[in-house]
Amino acid sequence: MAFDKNKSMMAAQKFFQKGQYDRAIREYEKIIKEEPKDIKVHQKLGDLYAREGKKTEAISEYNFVANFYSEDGFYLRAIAVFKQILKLDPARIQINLKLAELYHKQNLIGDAIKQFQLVYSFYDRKGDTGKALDTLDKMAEMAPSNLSLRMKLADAYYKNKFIDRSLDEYVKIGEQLKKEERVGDLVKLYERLIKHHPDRVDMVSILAEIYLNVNKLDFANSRIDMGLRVLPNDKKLLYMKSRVLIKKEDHEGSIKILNELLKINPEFVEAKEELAFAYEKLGKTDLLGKLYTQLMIYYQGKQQHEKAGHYKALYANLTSTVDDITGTEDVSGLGGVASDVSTIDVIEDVVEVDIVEAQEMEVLEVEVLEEVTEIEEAAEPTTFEAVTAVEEDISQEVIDDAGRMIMLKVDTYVKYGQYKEAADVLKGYNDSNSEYISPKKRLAELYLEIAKSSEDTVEYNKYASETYSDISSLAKKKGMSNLADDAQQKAMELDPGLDTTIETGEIDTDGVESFDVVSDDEVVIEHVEEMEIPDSIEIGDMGAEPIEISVDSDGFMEGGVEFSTEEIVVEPVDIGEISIDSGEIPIDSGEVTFDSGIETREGKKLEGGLISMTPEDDSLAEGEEYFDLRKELEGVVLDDEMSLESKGGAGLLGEDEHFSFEDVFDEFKKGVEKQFGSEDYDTHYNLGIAYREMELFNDAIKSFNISVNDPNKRVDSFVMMGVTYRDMGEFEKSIDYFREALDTPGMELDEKNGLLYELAFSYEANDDIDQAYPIYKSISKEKPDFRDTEDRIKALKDLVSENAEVNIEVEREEKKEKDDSKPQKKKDRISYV
Amino acid sequence: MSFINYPAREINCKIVYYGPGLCGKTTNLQFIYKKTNPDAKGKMISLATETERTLFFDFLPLSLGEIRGFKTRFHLYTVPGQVFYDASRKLILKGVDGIIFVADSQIERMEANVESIENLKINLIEQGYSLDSIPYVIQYNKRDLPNAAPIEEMRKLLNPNGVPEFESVASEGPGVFETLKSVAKLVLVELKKGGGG
Repeated sequence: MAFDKNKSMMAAQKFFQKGQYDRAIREYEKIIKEEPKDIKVHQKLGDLYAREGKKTEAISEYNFVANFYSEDGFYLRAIAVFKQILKLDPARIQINLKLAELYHKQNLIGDAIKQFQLVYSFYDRKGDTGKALDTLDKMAEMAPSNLSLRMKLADAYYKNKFIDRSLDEYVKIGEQLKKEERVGDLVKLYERLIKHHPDRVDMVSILAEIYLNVNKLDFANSRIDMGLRVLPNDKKLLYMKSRVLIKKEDHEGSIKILNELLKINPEFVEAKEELAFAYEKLGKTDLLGKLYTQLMIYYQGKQQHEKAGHYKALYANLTSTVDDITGTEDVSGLGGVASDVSTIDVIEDVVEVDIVEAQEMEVLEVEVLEEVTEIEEAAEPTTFEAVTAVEEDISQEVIDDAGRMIMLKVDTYVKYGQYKEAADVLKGYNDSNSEYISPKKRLAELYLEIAKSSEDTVEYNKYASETYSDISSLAKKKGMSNLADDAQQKAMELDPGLDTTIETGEIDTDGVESFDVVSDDEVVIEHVEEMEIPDSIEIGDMGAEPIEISVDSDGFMEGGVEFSTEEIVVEPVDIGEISIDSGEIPIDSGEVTFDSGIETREGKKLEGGLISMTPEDDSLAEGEEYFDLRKELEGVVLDDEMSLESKGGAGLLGEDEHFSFEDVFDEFKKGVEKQFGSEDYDTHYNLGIAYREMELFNDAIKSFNISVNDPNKRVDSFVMMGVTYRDMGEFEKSIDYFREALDTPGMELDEKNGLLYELAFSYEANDDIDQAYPIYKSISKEKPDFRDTEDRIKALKDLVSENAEVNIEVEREEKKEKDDSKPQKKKDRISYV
Repeated sequence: MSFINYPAREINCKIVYYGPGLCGKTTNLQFIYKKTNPDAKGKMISLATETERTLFFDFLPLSLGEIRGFKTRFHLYTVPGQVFYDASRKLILKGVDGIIFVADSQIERMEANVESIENLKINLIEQGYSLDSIPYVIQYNKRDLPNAAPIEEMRKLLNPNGVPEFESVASEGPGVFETLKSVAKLVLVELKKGGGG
């Protein structure tokens, strides 16, 4: 006989509903035998095994289901099922691992890390160091900026004697701290580490750099010396040493160090600058010329014209000073223009040498500079001044390489008084490169210089005028109107007959290149001086996550990393009193206040179809008390002034509800039915309230229809149905339910007044004023300040018919009769009153 | 606004836990449920899909006992966090008296937090409320996770107006009752002022 899956499914379901789980299991097992890949049946079977306490079988089924989902890319489902397995057996490490990986795939990094921590703890306890560290590595890789994790990883490496890896990890932590500008934390960490590992020049060097930048020169010097003992030729350390000496005004010492450094690396530009500074200070002008030239050429190559100009000016100043001293002729004027051919040849040679040097240096020094700036990024106070874009400052104009070389050549000609040659060279360049203003301006100035001391004044003035006119035209095109006007003015002054009409038209801005006054390769260097170094730092205060370090006598972690413990406690690290001479730094000496105690914060213990998420009632632990919200709200909760007026609210469910919502709601209702059944009156009453608040009125009514079966909930349910029908606009039904409620015996006066009010309100809403009015009146007689009955009465008084007034008289009589303790008449509608 | 049932002499205040998916709204309610005296609570209605996503809403009625002869109850609700359950969220927000925004502290959930808070604002406006006028507090949940964002950053992003805020680990309990107490106070103060409706 052929297998009938549907029949078997129905049978299984029936057994399940009857609580015959073993028989349901057998049915499902039959189905699996026929259709081994029916994943839903595997899931059901897993649930049933779990319910029956057959843990192994349940886990096997769940595992099958979870792996299926995982392989098919349904990661969230797989996660849910793996979690079910862990509920049955939390110690299954492979499941924890799979779960962690799934979380990772879902980019739920926090959850993934939490799971990996469990795995780590497991391997750690087991003594499987390799796997434990691999797990930690994965975690750190997942959250590279998580200092807490990195710290744990570093500590774990150390604990397991992977000292170098541990220290490398600490260096990464330091880099992250540096990135986050937490200099104080960084100093504390590295000071602690180098105490035991003075050979870690990387850390020593960073410390020196920090001290240097906050002008703690002795500390910096001490750390530099410590580093130089290990690496005597370390460029960075030597450079810092020279800076310390310069700051201490020990220029001779500085020169010595810088020359050493330049022997090691002759292209170290920053060292040359320091050296030039030191020479200047000591008045060693004989040694300065070459340095200035080198620096000028270097900065021109780097397009840092201001710096280049600075060294050029220094050089010019230097040569004029030397000339003054030596009494040589003034070569800056045209009078010094040499006509001697041999002199010109010599100058040509000098010019060529300069240009070749510039070209060679450019490559080398860029490399050196990059090396330096890389090391000092974000820490080194730059001596470079930021180039700012000034709209019409042509000194910032970036010209091409050929132009720069020509300008250098021009400078050299001018230096030796060869103005005409300089002008010829520059004119040649300008003729073929029309887009730059600064070479044109330079040419115009050269013409003016020549005009001043030449017989051909008129001619050179005319050349200058033409050049200025050219500048004016170009400046207009570039939108530099002031410059254009100035140049035009000069052109006119030099040659009043100049035809300028052509320049008065519209400025053609098409094709005008924008000025790029800052080259792309400029390094933006942060000033470490601006970093705040707090007096006292808690590593635990490091922002995202407290870092907790426990240390042993070596200054390292005690007892390793244990995630399952509540706290990883940090002992203050005693850096101790260390003399500067010995290369050790008294951190708390009062000069630099870095709190050596790395304080802790509390660590937090980490833990790791339609499902009911209602938790089981927990029995409280000994000494634990239930949370008493009421008690907590004492003093705020209701006093005599509290208004209890309800404004209510009505309105039908919006029409924009989508089918998908209906689906969800249907599913929800099925779940509720399954979970609570139809005899949980309290829950149905609560649900009714919830539905009513959501304006799901029909479902609210259904729920109240269930809760009304509970004698204790009868009146409340009627009232809620009355209110709900009124919200729905079904006033007749609303009235009926309030009347039903009023029929309940044993009602207290307040309760009855409340009900009467609701009844009257529904009558009023139904435009039955004659019924509403006397009810309000009767309430008012019993309790004049009951809610807003007085207002209602005033509002309705003029609307009520005479008949109602008669009813009121009847009511009064009845009331009187009641007071006289006479038997009451049979109730009619008015009898409620 | 607060529903006052005169015949039943009952005040119902509605507090909604709002926030992105998987931020811990249900966990908050579960913790409250577990640690509240059985006499002061009704059954918690909480259904979830097999991926532990709240289905429609969670509901937990808490009783404060009688106050001036009125049984006062706080009805705690959660909304489904997933973006596509907006219709459900809108319904649940109807008649809300107080809101707890549960933010997930994990750095990678910041965008979801912001999105959810924006969604809350829009849904409130649709119903004529605003976060400025309704009792509203923020809870930064999952503070125990190693990838939790700094509070300052979260505050800048999620709490520019400086409403009461609490750090929490809902699975363990810290911060859960503090948050509830804070919003409950605000709701009662509103009720006192006559804003309750």
